[in-house]
Amino acid sequence: MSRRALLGTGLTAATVAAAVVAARAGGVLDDGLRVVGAEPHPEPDPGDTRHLKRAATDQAVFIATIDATIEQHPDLEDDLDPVRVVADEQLVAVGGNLAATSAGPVPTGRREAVTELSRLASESAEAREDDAVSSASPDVARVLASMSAGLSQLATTLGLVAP
Amino acid sequence: MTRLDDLQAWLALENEAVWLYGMIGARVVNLAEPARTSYDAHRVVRDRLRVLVDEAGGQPVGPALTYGDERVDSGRDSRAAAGNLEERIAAACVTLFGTVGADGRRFAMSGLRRAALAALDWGAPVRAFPGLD
Repeated sequence: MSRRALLGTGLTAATVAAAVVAARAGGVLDDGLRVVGAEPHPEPDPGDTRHLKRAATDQAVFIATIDATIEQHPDLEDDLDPVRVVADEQLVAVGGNLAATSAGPVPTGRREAVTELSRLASESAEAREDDAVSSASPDVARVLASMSAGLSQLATTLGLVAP
Repeated sequence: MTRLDDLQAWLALENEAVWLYGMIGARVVNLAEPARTSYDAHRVVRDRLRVLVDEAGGQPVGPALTYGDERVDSGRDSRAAAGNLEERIAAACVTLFGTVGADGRRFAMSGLRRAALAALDWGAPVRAFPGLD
């Protein structure tokens, strides 16, 4: 099976974004407030907001680096385009964009360039896991955990790109 | 859903996995090796979940007699069944993630990542958000 065939796009951005927005509108005290019959105050948890911003920033750098890699190694475009599609879906879902984002360094060697992208994806997967574990909102925790697993899939897929 | 419900839901899928990979290994010769690897991995997780359910005061859900022999009639069917099952396990792990503390989340994350990568190995597509589709 080709990597392109592997990279189906179960479009989840809208669903996930809705969960993120809902999570941003609520805070860690919401459940406690509901128990005592009070209406939760729409106060986002500062830690969760930081986690989502960090996810958006890391993801923008990852995508900018994919673009820079394609620019430097045009023969990788067919392999990297499907990865970019999935990565962009993740970026949109966590409310990020590519404005004012600088790419990471792109190695001159083709193989090293792909390895660097795979490393970036793995590093982001670990960071999303750490943030997911400490998130106050269950919704944010689930989104970041799932994103971490998706990034691991991307890292593995990049590892399959022929040298 | 409570933490116990979420653990039981994951355990039910691990029971199915132990059955499915046993069947694939027995029926599809060219998938016997990866099926064996998956079988062993899922038995470990199943046993761990049984302990966690027990510790949470629940009666661990047992396996069904069968989960559909027709799902493993061919190599292609078997791959599809395995990929589908791993994606359902990923979804169970994501659900659990919201109802447990930090240690439970690390355990759920290990299951989620393992399921997401196993789904790829069995031919499922890359997902932006495994388990949230």
